[in-house]
Amino acid sequence: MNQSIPADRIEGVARLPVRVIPKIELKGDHVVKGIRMEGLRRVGKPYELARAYAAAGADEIFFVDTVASLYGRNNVLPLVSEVSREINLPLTVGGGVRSLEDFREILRAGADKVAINTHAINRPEFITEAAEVFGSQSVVLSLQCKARAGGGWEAYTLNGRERSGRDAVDWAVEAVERGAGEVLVTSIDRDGTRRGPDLALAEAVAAQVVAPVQVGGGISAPEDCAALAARGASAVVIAHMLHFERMSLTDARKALVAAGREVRPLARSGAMK
Amino acid sequence: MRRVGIVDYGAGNMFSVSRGLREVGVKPTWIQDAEDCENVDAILLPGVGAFGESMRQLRARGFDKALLEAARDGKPILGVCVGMQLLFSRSFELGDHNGLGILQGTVVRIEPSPGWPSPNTGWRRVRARRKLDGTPFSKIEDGDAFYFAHSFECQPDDPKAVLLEFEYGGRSVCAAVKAGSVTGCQFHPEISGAAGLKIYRTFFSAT
Repeated sequence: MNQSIPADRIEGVARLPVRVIPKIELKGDHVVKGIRMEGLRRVGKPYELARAYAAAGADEIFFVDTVASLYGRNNVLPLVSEVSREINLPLTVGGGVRSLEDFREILRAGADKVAINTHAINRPEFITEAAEVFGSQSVVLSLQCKARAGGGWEAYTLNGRERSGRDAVDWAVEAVERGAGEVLVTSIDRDGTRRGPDLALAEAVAAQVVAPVQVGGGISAPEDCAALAARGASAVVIAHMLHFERMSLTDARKALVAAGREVRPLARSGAMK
Repeated sequence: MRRVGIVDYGAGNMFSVSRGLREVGVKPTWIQDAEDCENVDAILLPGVGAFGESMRQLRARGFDKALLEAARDGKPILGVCVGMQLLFSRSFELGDHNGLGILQGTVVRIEPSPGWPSPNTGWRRVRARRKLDGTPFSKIEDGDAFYFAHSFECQPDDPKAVLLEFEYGGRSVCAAVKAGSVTGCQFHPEISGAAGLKIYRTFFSAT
């Protein structure tokens, strides 16, 4: 049963600094970018990208390993260690996490949070197990959604390839009740399209879950960040626009401030404070 | 630079914390045996995860007695995140647990209020409640933001122990405490950018 949280749910969130989080998708040791989560293009070197984003004011960095389930994690963990040594920002890693051992391995490598999806839907107890050992704040539910013909959204697994049959918002509420500390909502329909984010989806999830909600998929302009924040997003997750330099982190931050939102203070010199 | 030991009791954020120390030129030692607390000049107690389980691990390895002794000897101790919470007398996370009892106070769930997410995750600006000279926070500025990720807050019995606080849910919540040589930091200095590293640098380079 959904905890129905009224509109003033948005009020508190409105006063907290909005986070801007670059998402870096990895295939082997290359950065790739999916379009609607299929079809990958090589974009660049992950280490360099992460460093550049950190220097430009990113609040956190999110790495997605798109081939972990196929090839294991041997390529990604050294990268995570290298990046975590260099940048002093929260690092989230996701992709093919199937056990507490996978979870621990990722944290050991230097990540602060682990994003889980498929295994959590298949075995929801996993969320609670991970939260009890590692803390809720390190468990991020990755919620990948496609709009349903009749309204609402369905949660998808396997990096957007397979239907779960579960209502996305209901599943988000359940996952948080089970111990997920954050929900990262991605619109599969909008991902990589630069058509603008699914604002209704953002609002639906943010209004129902108690945990902070990160939203990504389809951001097309800095103003989209403000629009998402207005609907209760505590963080915006951006890939395409940043990787192809159609937008900068500074643009996103400026748009948030222009809309009356707070952002994390950076040093006057512009360098990371 | 002094010899700094990180208590190794399986806490999830050990590596994140040790990386932060390396950044400031401190080579940390892992303290696996409680008696090795005596062989370092300063101790860092990391922590994420459940309070009760963490205390069980600490007790099982004898760290409860060793840390209490180190505090009595005036050895600098810095507890970070759950490490800070463990320093206190009592926590109500998933039950009713005794903490290390080095700092007097309780750890309670952050009161849920409509409009404020739980856990409290993200960057928050802190405010100084007292002068920061002589504390690891002496080089930070009022209004600096740090990264928090927690569902429980510390409520020290002595309000004078509070160094830093932040606003959440229309109240002031404790961000850092100090009593004697023992400091607690609710946020994560190692992932709070340059401002966070300043804290480690100050704590670990003081002689």
